[in-house]
Parts: sequence; C-alpha cells; structure tokens
Amino acid sequence: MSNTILKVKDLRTHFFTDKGVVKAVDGVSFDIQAGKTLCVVGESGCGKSVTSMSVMGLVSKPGKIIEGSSIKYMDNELTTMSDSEYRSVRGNEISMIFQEPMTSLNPVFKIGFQISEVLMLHKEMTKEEAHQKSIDLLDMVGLSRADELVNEYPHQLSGGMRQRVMIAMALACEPKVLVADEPTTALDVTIQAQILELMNDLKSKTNTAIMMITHDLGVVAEMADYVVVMYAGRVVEEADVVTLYENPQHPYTVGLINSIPKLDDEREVLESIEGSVPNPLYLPEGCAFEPRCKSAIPKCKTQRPGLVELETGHKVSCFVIQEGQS
Amino acid sequence: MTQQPLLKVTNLKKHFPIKSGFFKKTVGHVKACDGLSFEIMPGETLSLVGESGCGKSTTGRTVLRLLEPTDGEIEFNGKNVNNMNKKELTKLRTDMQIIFQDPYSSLNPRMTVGEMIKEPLVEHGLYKRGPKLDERVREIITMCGLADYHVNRYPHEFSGGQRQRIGIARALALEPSFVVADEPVSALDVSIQSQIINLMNDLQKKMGLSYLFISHDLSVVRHISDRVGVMYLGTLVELADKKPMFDKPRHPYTHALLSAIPQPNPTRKRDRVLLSGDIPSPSNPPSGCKFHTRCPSVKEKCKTDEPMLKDLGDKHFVACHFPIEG
Repeated sequence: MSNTILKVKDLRTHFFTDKGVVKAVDGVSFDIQAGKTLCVVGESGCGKSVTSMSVMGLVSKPGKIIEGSSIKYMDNELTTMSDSEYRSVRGNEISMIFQEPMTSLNPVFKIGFQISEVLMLHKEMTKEEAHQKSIDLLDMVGLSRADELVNEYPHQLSGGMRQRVMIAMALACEPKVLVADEPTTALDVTIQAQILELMNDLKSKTNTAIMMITHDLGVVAEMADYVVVMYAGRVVEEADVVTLYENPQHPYTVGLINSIPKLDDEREVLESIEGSVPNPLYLPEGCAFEPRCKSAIPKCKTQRPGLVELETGHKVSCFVIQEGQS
Repeated sequence: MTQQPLLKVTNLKKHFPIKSGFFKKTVGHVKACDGLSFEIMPGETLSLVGESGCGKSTTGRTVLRLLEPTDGEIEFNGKNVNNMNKKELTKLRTDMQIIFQDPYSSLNPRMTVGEMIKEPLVEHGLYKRGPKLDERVREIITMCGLADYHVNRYPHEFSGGQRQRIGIARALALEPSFVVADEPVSALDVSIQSQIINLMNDLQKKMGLSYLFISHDLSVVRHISDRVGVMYLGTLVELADKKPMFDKPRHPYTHALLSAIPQPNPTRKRDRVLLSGDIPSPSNPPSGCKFHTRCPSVKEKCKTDEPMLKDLGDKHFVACHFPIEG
C-alpha cells in the first residue's frame, strides 16, 4: 500500500463537558489511498463528523484530540502541527466540503471572491489570475454562465449550485485529499445524483483521495471503494464496498443493511434494530452495541472487542464473530 | 370498485400570494398546488412523492383544511369539507389527523407526554379527566411502542424515534380513520426509520387506517403504499398502483426520479437518467408541460400544450404527451 496518502491511527477525540467526558471518537484507524474513496458510515452521533473535523484540525474547545492519536498526511504528522503550519495544509493539500451549502458560504461576499481568496492565500496568485481561475473552476464543476456567477452572491443560487460552488472552492488548490461531510444530504435526489456524478468524475480526473462521511448506505454503494462503519465512536467493521454489502459480519452492519427499504424488495416487514444509540456520556463498559445486539454473549457486556482482520482488508470488532472464526 | 372513497379531492388548488411594495400589492402567486385530483379508499395508503417545493406538504395540509384551499373540492366520507364551519370542522378533526415531519419541533416542550395525549381526548369530549382517561392514555402509549412509565416525562427526555412515536400516539388517540403523515421518518436514522415504518404498518392493520403518506424518499414509499402519486411543481404527473409505478414508470420524470436514487447494492450499476438543471420556481412555472425544461425526451408540443392526467389503462394515470412505452 504505497499509495496511502492519509493515515489515521488510534484517533481519539474527546469532549470535556461540564457533565463529563464525551468520547466522540475513541480509537479510530483507517488509511486513505490516492484516487480512492473511503466512506465513513454510521447513524447520527456515532462520531463520523467529529472524525472529519479532527482530520481537518477543526476540533475546538471543549473538544481535544487525545495524545497518542496520529493523523499522518504523507510524511507529516498533523496532530502536532502548529496553527500556522496547519493553515498551509488545510484548504491546500486537504480540503473539505461541508454538509450545508446554505450556511457554509459567506452571504456577504461574491462567489468569485470566496474562491479567489483560497487561491491568493495558498497559491500566491494575483487578484486577476485568481479571478480567471475561479471562472475556470466554476466551469469545471459544470456551472453554466460561470463568468457571471463569479459576481453573484450565494443567495442568488439554488442549493445544488451552491454545493457545486463549495466543490469548486474545495478543489481550487488541487488538494490530495478531499473530505466531504454529507455533501448531498441537504439536496433533492435528482440534484444529489448530479453532484455524486460530478464528484466521481473529478476523482478520476484529478486522482484525489476522497473521504466521504454519510449516513446513506445507498450513497455509499454508489461512491465508495472502501467502507468504515462506525458505532458510538468506534469502528465496528471495515471492508471493501462489495464485501461489506454481500458479506456483512458485524450484527450492527447486518441490521443496518437489512433495515433499509430497497426499491426492489418485496418484504412486508422491515427488519429493525431495537432500541437506540447509547448516550455518549455513559457508554456501556463492554461492546457499545451490546444492549441492542441479538447475538450478544456474556463476554460482550464486560469487555471491549478489538478490530480483528477476518480476511485481507475485512476487519470486524465483535466477539461473537471472532470466536466463531477461531 | 364499488366502494366509496374515504377522501375525494377534485381539482384542488392552493395559491400563495406574493406581496411586495409599500401597499403589499399582490404581484404574483406561488402555485404550490395547482389542480390536483385523487381519491383514497378506506384502509388504503396513498403516497405523494416529489422533490422539495413540489407542493406535497401543502396538499397534505390543505386536505385537512389546515390551509384554506384556493379552489377545488374536498369530500371526506361523502361530506363536503370545503364549506364546513368551525364547529363542523372540529368534529371532523376527530376523524382526520396529522403526523408531522420534525419530531423535535412538533411537540410542546412544556407538556408531559400524558398531557399531550389527553388534551385531544378531553377537548373533543370523548373522556372526562379521571382514572378512565389515564387508562386510555396508557393503552395508546403502549400500542405505539412506548412504556407506560413514559407518561410523566417531557419530550426532551426522548430520542428522535421515541418522539415520533409520541407524535403518532397523539394523532391516533382519537381513533381517526384518516391520517396525513407528512415525512414522518425523514428526520430519523435508518435503523429507527424502519421501526417507525413497521409501527405505522401495524397500526394501519389494527385500526383500519387510511394514510396520505407524504415523502421524498421513494424507497420508503415503495414499502408503505398501495398507490403512489408523483408530483412536480404542484401537479400530479403520474398516479398508479405501487407495482406498475415502480416496475414500469410511464412519465419521464418518474423514470428519472427512480433512477436517481442511490441503491444500496454496489455491484448493480444501473443506467441512470441524469436530469440537468434545477426545479423551476413555482411562482413562474414553465409554459406547456411544467417538466419540459428538464425532460430528456422533450418535443415541440410539450412547450406549448399542458398535458392532462390520462388513464393509460389499469388506473395508471400519466400527464405526458409522449409517455414511455409500457
């Protein structure tokens, strides 16, 4: 695996609140390779967004990346970087597309200026060069009348157009890694299809590695090469996308996949996972999924399972599966 | 079918005026709902699907007369709902209820669950306060999958899925025969979403309910409905039984909408009809067929003549001059 661009190892991001420590991310590891898409899936509150924020170095108080965590970009350790060092990486080498195109653009600046700003800062372009490049970028993400759009304000655009602007901005410096946090959740399906197509297109053109955060297993199937499933701050299963859908192992992954209504199934009753996600302040001592798990054994209550490789590239963190294997 | 429809809507219109200037002169109308006709049989689920802004929620609310219709007729149980006065409407409300989309903002944070469910029962004079009422509340709550000790709790103590169960319990307390469900699961995680869908299905069987199910998620719709209506810019473009609609959509928009949904199956890549552009503004819809600006198979006639909803056989209604061959 020489193509590894970003290596996250044992990432722990905890939030020190008045009520106690919330272990939003608690020992997450994964690699991202050039030209590949890694999807991080999970339900709300499982720590997937905090993972992406940690990679971007955007975790703010009371949150803190705990010592011992490592995020390695090429050969640089990101967790120990100073703010100014980080700034030269962020937006330049690693950039991000946020979930809400409505709120993540600045409403009082013109589109063109917001894209130019990135270019002037990181690529030291002049104003004119940056302006021209912004037009090219808007063109690249499939927006017509790009030369007029640069002089418009975000409120003049629709949701899908704004998300395209966000993508143009994120790609301005030709980053090696693109972090996309639920990029299509706020959009309608027909618009979502356009944006996903665009991202796949750009990926093959620029060989950018994409880390995509989503809760939609349909989107995962469409986009991912490799998938990490998270539950309550930890990775419960990781595998390449085909293996994950055809041979899911962890009871949570199985439940998740079975509970999605599909367009082509005739089932009367959907399977569902009883109960709900545990309170992150009071996580169970053992496996976090144990209270909702149908196949739990006594050991699950007291001990935490580690991530064990079943076969090459397919890792599962579950005692029941691991013991069945050996 | 000789059976009488429970709800019959004929040419329903709801236009919102756009006011502007000092004298608040009406300068135009947003035609949220522009000439809809459909029927719902007892015990049946009709789903309305479409993208944001297509008027599906407006339709749901207008049918209940939570919004005053601009034009058209609504007949419920053989009685005309349009010109009912307030007293008659109150009586009607025991028979027609609504479940809202957002379980976070649709429950009063200062009322306990018990009070919330008691209120309609007392208000409509079905029960007097006392042990009998308490008994009834407990019955409803357990039916909706909550425990009876939840009665004295406040909404903030519940998770999203549980809150949606409260919303359902409140709507069903009066034993209505017709319920409008306005995106009841779109704010929930997948594993919780399937719990709620199953619950709604169970309750329908038990109580013989009819649903008008409003959703943008076609996979969910496929699961819950008997018939489906697809809306685009305030009009129905296709209305048919579930199976023919999903197997052989006849309207190009339905076809594109179905193909745009990301499928949770990484090995099956379907050919996708990608719609270009955004949904036009409902205040200034295109002439002729409203879909002609984005339609992949648009012809000259579509730009000038508006197609009417026609029966193509087997109660498969399509509003298109050139429907896809079945």
